[in-house]
Amino acid sequence: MDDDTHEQLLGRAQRLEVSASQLVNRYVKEGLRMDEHPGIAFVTTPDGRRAAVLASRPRLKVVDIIGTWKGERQDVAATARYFDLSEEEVQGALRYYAAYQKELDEEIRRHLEAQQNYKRVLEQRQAQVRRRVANG
Amino acid sequence: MKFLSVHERPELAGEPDDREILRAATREERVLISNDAGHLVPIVDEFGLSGEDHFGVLLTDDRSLPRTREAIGSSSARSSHSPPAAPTTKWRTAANSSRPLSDAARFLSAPP
Repeated sequence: MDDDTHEQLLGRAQRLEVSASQLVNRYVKEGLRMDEHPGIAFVTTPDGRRAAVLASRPRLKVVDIIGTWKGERQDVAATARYFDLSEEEVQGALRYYAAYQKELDEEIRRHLEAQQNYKRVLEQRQAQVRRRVANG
Repeated sequence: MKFLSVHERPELAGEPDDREILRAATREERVLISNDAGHLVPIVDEFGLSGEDHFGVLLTDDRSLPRTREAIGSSSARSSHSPPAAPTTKWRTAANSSRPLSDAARFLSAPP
């Protein structure tokens, strides 16, 4: 690694509060995946995880496309219509899913678990509000 | 009922922070619809604690209301709160709401 790049890496690692080796590992891992899957990019989610997204739509996670593709009985055209994407973009997400299925299935499981947890939390809050109103 | 997808707003296309999406929806007096409860509920709480207003967040459950044209469409026909076939994050105008959502996060009920 040349000196300028090394310095840049150390500065970036410091800003992100991670070690330089962790950051190098992330860049190599994501770089290799982006080379293999040119339509895919990576973003940091609010909970600090890295998520695969469509490079053309960085707010759209690959797991969201997979969820709808499964719900649409694995119909690529219907999935593309739903998200206003091209079928090639959906196919690109599916190729990424095929390559890293275990990892993405775990991400989907975590997402569904979070949904259920927050659903319970909101229901409990609403029940508390109703009780307070009923009790004057 | 007027729905917009976030990707129809080029200025928000690369915006990774859902706070800014909620603020943009608020500026246009819109309710935000999302399946991402894990990110949106803490933000709604944060807005509440800091006294920052918004027009409400409507959450969808991928198990009971999968994001497909069929599921979202049937829910839309049944409920005035429901979105039409929609990308991941949408917003709609608050003026059409039959139940006030302001400053709240609620889950959209699934079709019976």
